[in-house]
Amino acid sequence: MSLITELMTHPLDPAYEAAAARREREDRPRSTGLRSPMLLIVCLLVGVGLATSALTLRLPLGLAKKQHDQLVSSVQARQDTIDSDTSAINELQRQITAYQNQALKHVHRSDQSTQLSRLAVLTGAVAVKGPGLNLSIDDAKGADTDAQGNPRTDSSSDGRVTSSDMQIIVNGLWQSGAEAMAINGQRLTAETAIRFAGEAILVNFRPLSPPYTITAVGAGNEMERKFKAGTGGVYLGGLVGSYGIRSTMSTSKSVNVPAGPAPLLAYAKVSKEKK
Amino acid sequence: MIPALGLVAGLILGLLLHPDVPLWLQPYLPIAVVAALDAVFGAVRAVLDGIFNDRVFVISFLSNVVVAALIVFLGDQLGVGSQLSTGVVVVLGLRIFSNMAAIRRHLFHA
Repeated sequence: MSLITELMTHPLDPAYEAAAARREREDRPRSTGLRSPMLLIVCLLVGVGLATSALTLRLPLGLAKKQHDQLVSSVQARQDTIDSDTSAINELQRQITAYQNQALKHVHRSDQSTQLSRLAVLTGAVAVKGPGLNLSIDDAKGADTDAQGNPRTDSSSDGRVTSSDMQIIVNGLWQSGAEAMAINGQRLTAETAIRFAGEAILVNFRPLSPPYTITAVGAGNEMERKFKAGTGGVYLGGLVGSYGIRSTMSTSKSVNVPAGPAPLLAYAKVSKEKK
Repeated sequence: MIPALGLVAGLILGLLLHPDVPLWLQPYLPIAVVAALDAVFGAVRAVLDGIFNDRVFVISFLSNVVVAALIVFLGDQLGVGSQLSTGVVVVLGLRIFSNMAAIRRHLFHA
């Protein structure tokens, strides 16, 4: 390694030697001495550079933590805004429904009124209640449920309920005759997606935290029987057996399913061709 | 003594003024600092060897900083910025340590 040897044995800039030899030939002292204004200026420059770099590059302690806290609080504030706006929207939606019914009654079109309320139930525009069941699913006991949800540091993600588990179970419930469903208060509509972001399950683009409670309106005991015999129930049994995911199911005479987010139809129009 | 006083004055000036470094210049700072330190240690050793030359010092300082910045810039353009920076730090670090060893021999005869 001649490069490293050279570096270790002659670390000094060879220009110093050369300059000294030249000055010696000209009968002047080998060294120029330190009394040079240029030297002073460069030293000043080096000092300023060192101080500036140290100040610029040093990350103040606790800054990252402060920024993290700031982000968390701003996310929570926005979430609160969304919640209050959602409740305002629901209130307005209720008023609209009331006025609609009033108007339809006014022109004696009760058939349209019933059709409207039926459609509202189907699209999830209104809250519904009726007999049904509650299915509660939770991560396995050992699973790391820390909110950071970093998949790279998380080694114990086997016992976690994933979004695809949720999709299969929800589809099983639809097959078993569920008429309206909500997960942790998020109504499942035609526009609902059950997906994941990191380790969190998103329903209606809202993150949910375990335990996940699916509320389904339908023929209580019959729905439970069908579900347990169908693919969804078998799949859930597999999750419980293999990964220790906890699940409880109970039928109820009356369950409440809240209204879903109002669908925004900006472009879709009813097609003219009628079948 | 004068250069040392200049260095201290520069440090104090930098701490007091706290100039804002533009963002595009920040990746070059660490390497430039190491290069400047190398020039300074080389100069101290040259003083002790009795062959110090102010012109050589100024030119070596400026060229060190410019070449270091160039290497970082080129490395960033080629996508090997961190590797090249590591190489520069290793080479300059080796030089600083061997110059330091010579300075130590001069000062403490050990």
